[in-house]
Amino acid sequence: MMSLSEIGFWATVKRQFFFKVSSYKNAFSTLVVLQVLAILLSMGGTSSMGSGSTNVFVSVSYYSSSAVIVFSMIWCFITAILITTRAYRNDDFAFVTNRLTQNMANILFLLTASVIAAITANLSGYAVRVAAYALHGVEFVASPSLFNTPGEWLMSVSASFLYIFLLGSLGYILGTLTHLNRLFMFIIPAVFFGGMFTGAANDGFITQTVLFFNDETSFVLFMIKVIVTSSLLFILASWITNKTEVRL
Amino acid sequence: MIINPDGTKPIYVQISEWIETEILNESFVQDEKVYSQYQLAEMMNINPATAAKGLTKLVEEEILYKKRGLGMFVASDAKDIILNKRKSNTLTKLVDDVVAEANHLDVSETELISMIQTSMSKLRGEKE
Amino acid sequence: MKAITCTHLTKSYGNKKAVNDLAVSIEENKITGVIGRNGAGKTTFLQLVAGFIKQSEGKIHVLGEPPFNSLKASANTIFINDTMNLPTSLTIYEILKMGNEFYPNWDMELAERLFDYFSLDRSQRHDRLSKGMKSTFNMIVGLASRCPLTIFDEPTTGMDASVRSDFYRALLKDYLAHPRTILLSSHHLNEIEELIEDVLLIKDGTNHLHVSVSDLKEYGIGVQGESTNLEAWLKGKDVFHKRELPMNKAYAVVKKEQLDPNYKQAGLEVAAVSATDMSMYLTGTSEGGIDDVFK
Repeated sequence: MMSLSEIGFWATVKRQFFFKVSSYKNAFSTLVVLQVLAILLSMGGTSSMGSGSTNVFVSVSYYSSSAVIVFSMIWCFITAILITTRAYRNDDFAFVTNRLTQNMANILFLLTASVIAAITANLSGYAVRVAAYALHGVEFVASPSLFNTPGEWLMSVSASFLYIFLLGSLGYILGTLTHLNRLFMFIIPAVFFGGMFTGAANDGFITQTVLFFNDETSFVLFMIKVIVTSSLLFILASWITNKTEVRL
Repeated sequence: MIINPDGTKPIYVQISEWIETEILNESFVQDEKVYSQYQLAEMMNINPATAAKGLTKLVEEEILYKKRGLGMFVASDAKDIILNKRKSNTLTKLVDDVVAEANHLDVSETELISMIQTSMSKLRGEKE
Repeated sequence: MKAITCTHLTKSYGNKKAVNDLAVSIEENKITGVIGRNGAGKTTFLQLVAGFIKQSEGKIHVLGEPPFNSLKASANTIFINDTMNLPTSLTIYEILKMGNEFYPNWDMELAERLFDYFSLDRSQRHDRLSKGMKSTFNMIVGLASRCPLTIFDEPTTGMDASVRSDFYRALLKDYLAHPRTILLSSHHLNEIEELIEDVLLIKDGTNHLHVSVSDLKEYGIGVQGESTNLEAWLKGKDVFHKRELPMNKAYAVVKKEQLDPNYKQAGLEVAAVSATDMSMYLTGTSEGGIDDVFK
């Protein structure tokens, strides 16, 4: 008799993770395209103001990577939805997996994707500034030099990572819900737009949610909020998918 | 030998009959080892269990004997057993068919016997 | 040891029971042919075995445990089907390398040899392959994985005759060298009759008959003669199949053990029934045939 192979949980997660990295590699080229697009859009300065007297005209423009980070967040959101679709989920079952290892590998993949997106987005901030310096000959005011200190840089990367990963977990749960029942495809946008327009401008559900994260001034608290929220979303998604079937 | 899957004879019977013929042809002689079930499976493109069934049939009929761990071997009186069996099975059946057909065509008993004799002398003539 | 055991296995989709109260136990290291008409429930049964779907009722054990969500079952089972999903972002050669990473018994050398033998293109994508090439590639995955439980669901769809016979030969040779439990589904038995040891006939989602191929061959017997005589003789017997023949004659298939010796007096002739025909009669509707449509 051919002996049965026992296979470890984490060993399977690891293999699934590497499988996902190589088979979703197209997602990373999309990221590059989106970030380049965002850099080009930031070229003119994300916002500017000017004031002048008869002899002097002062123009202040913000050259930052915020557009790149927003684009990266959208990218992670869409990627997360994409990997919850049936075609992607079924691919895993061609090889060794169960539903839990599949979700673990997906989460690891989104973590990796968020880290890469956060780092590249922050590096692209320099590209924006360098380009602005070269093209417009601007003087930097907000940051005294072209480059930040390593500490500031790390903080900036971490914050972008948390934002991107949060959006990833949101996309993952929304994709999973849609996978569970097609009705969610209509319900979710309805709730989203409904939440945006109902209620007073600042009391809306969506606004409140955004403020919950965005108004947090303590980095540690912000980090805890993001980690707890995304963990809950992933646990919910894993619980939902634990009974989904592979349909051919 | 080519297995005929559409035939009405089970494949294992076709296998055992083929080995019998090989023994009659002296491709295998007394106390010689015959093919294993795996060799048969590979040669005939059949399931090894089917091949084993064909071999077991021959062991039951004492045409082959088993040596533990070594394989199947041709029994000393294998040829006689096969010949007797074929005589009683195959030939009787053929004769039945011939008689039935003769009846159908109104061929008398003496006529049939003389036809058989002619056929036999023809065969003898060819042999000489 | 049993590779697969099921009792009262049922899988419902809405009101329809694709698998209905199926009980079977399949011994390990045998090649079993799963035979049934289209829509009989073969694929649903095989998907339950592979742990892809969860039963609605009943029990199923595969390699010692319920297969749904079992890592052990997943690592030791491979399910090959012509609609199986394989990543389209990888080349087919990369998929083979991935299989090598995942399956503990995977034989990369065999995979590469078969790959070259069937002249597949390493840089090709799975969704760009023709139907026959796709089946060929899937078959290579199924063979090279060397899973203790290997399931081929209609593996030869779209293959031409020579690839088909190459496939069956390859399957047999690899099975001889590495015996394992193999389920092979097909709607025609004649193609796999020599290869398999047992037959599982599935009809209306349930186990209709589970016997060895040689027993299936001796299961029924064909009887032929004058319609009226045959009709009288058939009384009280299980008739699997019956059809009218020219000149007021008829042909029927009954269980071999019900062949009483008085058939000769009734002027009936008997003939053996091939396993393929028998499986067709058993899985089809018992009476009537295409001829009745034209009456």
